[in-house]
Amino acid sequence: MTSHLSSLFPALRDFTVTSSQDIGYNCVAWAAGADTRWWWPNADSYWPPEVPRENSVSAFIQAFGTLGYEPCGDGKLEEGFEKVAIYRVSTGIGHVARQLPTGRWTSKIGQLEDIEHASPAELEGIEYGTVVQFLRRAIGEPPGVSTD
Amino acid sequence: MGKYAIPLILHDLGQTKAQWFLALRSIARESPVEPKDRGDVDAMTNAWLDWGRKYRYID
Repeated sequence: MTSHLSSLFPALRDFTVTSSQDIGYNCVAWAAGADTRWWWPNADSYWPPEVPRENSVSAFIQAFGTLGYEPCGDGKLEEGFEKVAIYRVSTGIGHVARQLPTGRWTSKIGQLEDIEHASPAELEGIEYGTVVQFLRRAIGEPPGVSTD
Repeated sequence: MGKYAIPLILHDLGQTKAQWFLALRSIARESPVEPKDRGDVDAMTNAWLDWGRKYRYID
C-alpha cells in the first residue's frame, strides 16, 4: 500500500502514512501549517503577499519568515523550537518538511498522502533533491501557525 | 490545439480537479480566479468552470 512512496524515495524506511491522498494542499502549505490550499510562488497558488514569487531558497526563507521562522544550522530537535527543512533540486525548490515535537518529521507528498518520517534525509534523492536550509521558530511565537 | 483543448481540459478539471490551471491560463490568456482564491483548488476549479460556461466552452 505504501510501495509507491518507497519507489519515489528509495531512502525512505522509517515512516508511517498519516493521511489519505488529498489534492487540496501541497508540501509547502503543510509545512506552514495549512491544509486548505496550495502554497507556491506561482500565479495559481497562495504566496505571502510581501514575498517575491520566486522559486528560490531566498524567497522560501522569506515566506517562512512571515511565520516567524529564521535560518538555523541543523534539523536536530531543540526544546522550545520547531523547524522546517527546505530541499532544492536543480530546477528550484523540491520540497519542504516540518519537524514534529517528537523530533520526527511530517511531509505532504505532492498530491498524495501526508507521512511521518524519521529524518529529512529519508526524502532526499532525485525527486526532492537535498536539504539546503533549515529554519526554526520558537514554539508559540507570534504570528503562530498559519491557518490559511 | 489552443482553445480547441479548453472544453476537454475543463471537463477533466471538473472530474478530477487536476492541476490544469497553468494550461488554462496559458491558452485563455486570462484567469477568472480572484487573487484571494489562489491555491484553493475548489474555488479555482469553480471559477474556471463558471468561466467555461460563460464563454460556452462547456454546458
